[in-house]
Amino acid sequence: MIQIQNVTKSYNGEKVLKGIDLTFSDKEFVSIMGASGSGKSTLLSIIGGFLRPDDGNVLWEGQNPFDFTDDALAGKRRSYMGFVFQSFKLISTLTAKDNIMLPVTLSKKINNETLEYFDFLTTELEIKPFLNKYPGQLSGGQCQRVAIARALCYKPSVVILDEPTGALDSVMEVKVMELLKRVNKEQKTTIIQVTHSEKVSCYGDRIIRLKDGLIVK
Amino acid sequence: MKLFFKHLKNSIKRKPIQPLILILTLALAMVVITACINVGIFINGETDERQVVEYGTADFTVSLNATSKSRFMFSDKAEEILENKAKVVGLYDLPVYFSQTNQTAFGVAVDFYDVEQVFEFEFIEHLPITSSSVNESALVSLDFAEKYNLGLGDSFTVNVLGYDKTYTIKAISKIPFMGSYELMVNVTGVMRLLASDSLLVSSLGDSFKPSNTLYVNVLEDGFVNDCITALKNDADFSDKTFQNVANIMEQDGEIGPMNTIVYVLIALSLMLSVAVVFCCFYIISNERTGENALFKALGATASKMNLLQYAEIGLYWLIGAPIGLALSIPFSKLIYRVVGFRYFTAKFSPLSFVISSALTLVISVFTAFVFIISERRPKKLKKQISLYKYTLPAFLLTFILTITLPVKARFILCCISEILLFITIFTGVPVIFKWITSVIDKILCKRQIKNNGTKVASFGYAVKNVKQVRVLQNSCRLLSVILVVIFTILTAVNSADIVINNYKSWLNADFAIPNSTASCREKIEKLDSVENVYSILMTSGTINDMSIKMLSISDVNALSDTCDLDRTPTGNELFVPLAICDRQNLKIGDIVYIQIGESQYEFKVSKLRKDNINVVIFNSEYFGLEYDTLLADGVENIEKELLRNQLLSAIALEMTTIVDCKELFNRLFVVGSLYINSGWFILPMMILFAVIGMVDNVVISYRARREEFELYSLSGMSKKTVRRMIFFELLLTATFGLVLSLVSSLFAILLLDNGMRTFGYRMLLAFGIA
Ligand SMILES: Nc1ncnc2c1ncn2[C@@H]1O[C@H](COP(=O)(O)OP(=O)(O)OP(=O)(O)O)[C@@H](O)[C@H]1O
Ligand SMILES: [Mg+2]
Repeated sequence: MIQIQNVTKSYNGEKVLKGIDLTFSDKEFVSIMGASGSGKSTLLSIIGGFLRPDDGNVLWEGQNPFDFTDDALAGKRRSYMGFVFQSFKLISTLTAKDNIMLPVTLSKKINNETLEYFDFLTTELEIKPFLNKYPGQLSGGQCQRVAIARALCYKPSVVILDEPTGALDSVMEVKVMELLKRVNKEQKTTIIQVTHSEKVSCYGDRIIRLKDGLIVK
Repeated sequence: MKLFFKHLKNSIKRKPIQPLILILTLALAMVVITACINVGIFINGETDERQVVEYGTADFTVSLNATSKSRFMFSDKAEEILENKAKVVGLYDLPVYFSQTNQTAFGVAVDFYDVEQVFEFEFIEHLPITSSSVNESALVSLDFAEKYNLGLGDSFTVNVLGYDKTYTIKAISKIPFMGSYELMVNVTGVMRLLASDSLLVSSLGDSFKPSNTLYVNVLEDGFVNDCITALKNDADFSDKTFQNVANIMEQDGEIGPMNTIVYVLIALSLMLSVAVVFCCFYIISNERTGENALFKALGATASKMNLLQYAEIGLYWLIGAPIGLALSIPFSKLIYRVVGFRYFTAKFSPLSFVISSALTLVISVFTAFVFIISERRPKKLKKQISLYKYTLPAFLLTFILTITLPVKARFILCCISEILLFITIFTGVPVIFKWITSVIDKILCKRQIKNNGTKVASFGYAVKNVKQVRVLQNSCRLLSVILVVIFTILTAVNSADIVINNYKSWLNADFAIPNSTASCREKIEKLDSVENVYSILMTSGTINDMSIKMLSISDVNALSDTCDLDRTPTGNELFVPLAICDRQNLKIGDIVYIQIGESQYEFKVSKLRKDNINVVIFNSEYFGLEYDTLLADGVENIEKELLRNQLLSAIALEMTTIVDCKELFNRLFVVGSLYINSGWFILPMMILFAVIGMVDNVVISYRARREEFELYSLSGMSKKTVRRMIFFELLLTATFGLVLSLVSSLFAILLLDNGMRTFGYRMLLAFGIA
């Protein structure tokens, strides 16, 4: 369970989030929507523990990630949370395969089961043909799929995705959403996604709308 | 346009450390280049000045040699023969001995009234010398005055040729007379000391002015050879050695090569500066490439972007160059002090500053140019990067040629080959490094699958990064270049140092007495404090127009282990050091003809000596040449000064001097140490610069990669693992840099060794590698 309590955030004096209260229960599939610049990515970063809020609390299973030491946070992240950035943030010096396997390797979880799962994800997301290419050699959509595979591969309890289908065609979009749904159902993974598309948002159990830094019902 | 400069301003503002480091590197490069050029200028100036000090206006010298029948020459006789077409000055070597302090100083006796016809002296202070005091007057060097704590007008008593004599200091000179004598006295005064003992001296009176060496200044240009011929035709001079001052540097066997070594060091330092600056610029340009491409995509013209890149680098240079200049002046002064130049007064030629400014500007612009080209025509860059494909075979070819062709041609080839090696390292190391790490990565990946990922993640990712990140390969390249240069300089300087030390200790005796008459030998042998007495003949000869030093010894023990010798030569055997064999292309069994004095002698090469003493050893007795010097070796643990005392009193009546063997080659050491000091100064300077350059490079590259490391953290890598990964990256880079540079250094050093053979110098012999 993730709780957000009265979170505010401002950049250079301009308030982007003006007091957000949210609770994401386990096994939930939530879509967040809102206009461009409404603070969705900022909110996700705060939930993911990357960005410290000005005020308010973030709780992962009752613990505040900002109270952790850097290393403890890194460790917790490896088991607890997968994150797909809006700008993908793939490591340019690693191949697609190495990028996907990075968190798995770091948590020393390479076993037959994860290798099979890796195989499954790469087949589902159609990554196989360019596994040995470097991010610089991939298209935007290909990068996005690699980023999604990277976030799912080590089976975290929570997966957070910032516009996971923004760079994909409609066929691939459906495939990704079906995959996410399946992960949500079969592995009981909490999924929090940001999207601009009504169609994509419908895969969620619940839709949260953000406007001018506040949640509108 | 304004927009672009705003972009430049902001990118510098955003990452101010990188430009700062670059400016620092540029300034340091400038200091290094200026320092190196100045060392070159100083050494050149010193050589010229030294020639003026040592030879004055003399065109040629006449000196005693092994075949000389008479032990004296007379300057007025020579002037008479030359019919006043020349001025002749005679020098009589005169070591003086302080009985109270047991110290010896090197003096020279001259005719005070004649000497200024050829030599010019500059005194710090002086008193008038009257004709009544001339024989009791001494002119001394500043070193001498300080060493014995004497001042102008002070008197001191010394033992001259076995007699006590008191002199009064009438003038102090800043530098030693003729470059090596600490004091100068009037020759008449010395001869008067001997008058009571020698009938000849007393009968001739004040006109008896003997010399060991004559300095002849020919008044009219073009008559030098005529004058030499005229003198040679006279019976009194026919058995003497004539040396043309113009060729003198050539005759200084060891000095030529050392001069070359210093220039090689300077060239290497320049290359290193180029490498350091290029590698540091490389990172920034690498970063800018992406940004610039973006600008171009948005419609900026290529020429504008190029201008921007030039402007950026030009800006750094504009700031760095003045800083570099400001630092160069005190630094060059420091070199001047530390190296210990004696004759040359430091003049900081603006030329060195102009050259170093221009060089750094060229390097900067060149770097920018390389990246501009790489953006415009990626194919051309590929060609540049894979330049090693052409230079490597070319290098191997020149390398093989260098070690096989006749030595005379080797130096030029060696230089070409070294440059090719340098380019090969520069362009090839990143590629080799990438290739090796790819192999390691593949092996690791296979193992990982087998071991189910228990492998240390940090190392694996370090390998992957090194394989992919260009700035790391760049660091590896810089490190290799730095190490190759440092190893080569270290070997060259160290070798020269060893050679000079070998010369200091190759004679296995304490004192040399330039008088080998039987009576003198007998007197010395009687002394209890003397263990061994050897007779030697030190002379010089000419072999195929090359002047060589020759030595004949009565006993093999006269020479120390420094000399590769197990017996004395018999018959017409000639033991030749490898360096001379190289130059003359000699093999065992060859017959060679050597001109000694006026005669030519036939020798058979029967041993190639593996030592660095560039003197051929022969048997003078076989040719009827007499020994001219005795070497006295004291019993073990005897105090040197006691031994000297006993020797002096024993041979007081032999009209001879006693010279410390260590000082026998004094002139060589003084000049040699100049070069070695320069070398020892350049080396740490290079190391310092290289370390700073390397640190700069690493710091810049890690600043450039900060975002990348953040991404690792975001993927759940702990800070500790990130740090360990960085450590492994550096370790890999350093290890490969070291290994690759060790291999390359081997070639570089072998090349230099072969190149230096052209000058008759075997660099590696100093380390016992034949
Ligand atoms: N690092 C930052 N510094 C300053 N302002 C920022 C920063 N990041 C975001 N902002 C501002 O905060 C506001 C919210 O940004 P955010 O990225 O959260 O929007 P978003 O809802 O994700 O928009 P989009 O749908 O376009 O991705 C924007 O006005 C943006 O300009
Ligand atoms: Mg966003």
